[in-house]
Amino acid sequence: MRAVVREGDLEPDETDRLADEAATLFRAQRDLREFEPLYRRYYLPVFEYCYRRLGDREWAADASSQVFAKALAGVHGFRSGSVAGWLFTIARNTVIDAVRTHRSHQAIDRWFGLSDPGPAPEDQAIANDQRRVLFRAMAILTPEQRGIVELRWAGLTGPEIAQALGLSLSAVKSGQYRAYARLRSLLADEQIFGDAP
Amino acid sequence: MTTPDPDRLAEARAAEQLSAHLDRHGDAHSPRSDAPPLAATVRLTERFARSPVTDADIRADEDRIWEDLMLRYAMTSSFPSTTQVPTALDAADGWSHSVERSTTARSSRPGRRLGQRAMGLVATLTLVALVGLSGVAVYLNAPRDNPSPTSLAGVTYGTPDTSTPVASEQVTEVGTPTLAEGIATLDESAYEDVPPPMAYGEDWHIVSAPYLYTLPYTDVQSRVYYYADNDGSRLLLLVVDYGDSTDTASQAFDHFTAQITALQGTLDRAGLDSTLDEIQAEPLAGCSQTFRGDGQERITNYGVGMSLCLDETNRQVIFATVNGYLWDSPGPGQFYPASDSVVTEVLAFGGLAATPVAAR
Repeated sequence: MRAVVREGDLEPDETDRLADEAATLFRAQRDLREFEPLYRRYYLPVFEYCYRRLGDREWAADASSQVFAKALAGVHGFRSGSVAGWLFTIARNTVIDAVRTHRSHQAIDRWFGLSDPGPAPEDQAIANDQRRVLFRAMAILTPEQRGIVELRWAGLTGPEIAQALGLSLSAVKSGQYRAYARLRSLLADEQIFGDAP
Repeated sequence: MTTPDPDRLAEARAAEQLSAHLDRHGDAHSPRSDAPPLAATVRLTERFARSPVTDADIRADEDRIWEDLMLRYAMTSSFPSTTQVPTALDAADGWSHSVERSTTARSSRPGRRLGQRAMGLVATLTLVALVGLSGVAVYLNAPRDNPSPTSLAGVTYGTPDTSTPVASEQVTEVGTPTLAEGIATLDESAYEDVPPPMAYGEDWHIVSAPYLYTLPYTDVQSRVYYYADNDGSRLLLLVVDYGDSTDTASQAFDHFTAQITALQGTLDRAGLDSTLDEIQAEPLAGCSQTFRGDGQERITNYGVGMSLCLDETNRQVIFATVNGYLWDSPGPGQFYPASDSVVTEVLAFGGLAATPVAAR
């Protein structure tokens, strides 16, 4: 059963944001141009989410385009809940579709810029190393934990993550805690991150 | 009454505290003195998880995509349901389906979403049935006193009679021009790390190389394997579907029904109805259920197992499908292949528990 965002799970500001976004979406059901504020708000998080999963700018942009095309096409299907949760449900499935279709085994390399043989500035090289280490740590998490962290990175709240992943809020909280605890443990051993997080 | 585990309670409290903090402070960019310890980890990982794409590039894409979306909107006033742009129904879950929707193919049963996915499976089954039809027919008509799986391989695929299973790494692209859209554009390299879906155990032998198909509605590739058991009494057509992982219990039933219908229709059209009068095509026990994680932490959803049993005297042709990959991947571009145990479980669920598939 898919979880829904309940008001009792939310901070007051969050309730306002959810209501505002839902109102915008309902307006977009009458005129799709009304969707633009939501698009502007969520394009970057959606793109970053897609990029982390796909590892390529163009691919991520294409996937983001698909996400919003699907969102616009399915705008009448939105009834209640969090717009972000709804949108990232689409994003998640779109990315899974994209990866399944393309089967890119080079995605990881692309993510870290490893396929680019050219010299990289030192700070860029360090950042790439840090991303690589982070990726390896992420790969150790369970899929559920990884999904939670990725959506948290995208700026979703716990209830929204629960909605997007079809989990209970308590499962999200528990999975989130264990995920970050595991990441802390894994990254603490990596000198490249300096002080342990 | 049991005493609550103090460690679990402490963890639950910490999880609650972290969640509340993150929800309250969003991305937790600004350190706070009252922040729980793990908030620092959140900040750190978030920082390094950002893409190296510049803001300017992202903005350029953002503007271009919005203009493109609005242009399409302006041209059509609404998104047509028969173009590559997904329909509202499809978009509800974000899965891509690009086949024209048939208004007559909808199931009226509440909760069903037969739609394109099931129709795609019908197409898949039709492909499978056409490819395997001659072999199945010969198999069902073959003398009962010569039931060796090796002869089955020969009659089905015209391969030499041999007791050595064909290497599963060999992939053969098959099809006819009229079904061209359903045939994969073979990208064998994409399957380099895909293991066979089932072990060559003591009970079953693979009798052909796998065939690759692409479901036209999702571009999802499926592999079709043919197995026979040792006494030749059963032929198994196993479709490993590397997609369509949105199955629910009702969809599983839809798929199963569609497969029966399609296979029966194919056999009828091939004029085999008189030969196969004794066919019984009934859902086996449990076929309408969906396999899910069942507490296996790394498995969140691995699709549907279903079998079609065509029982003519004591012979069976079993049609089974299983998702070849799990939903979640360990990282970009990576998947967990379906394990033998998953396939075994699916087959057993489809009524084959009496002769379990041997483990690898």
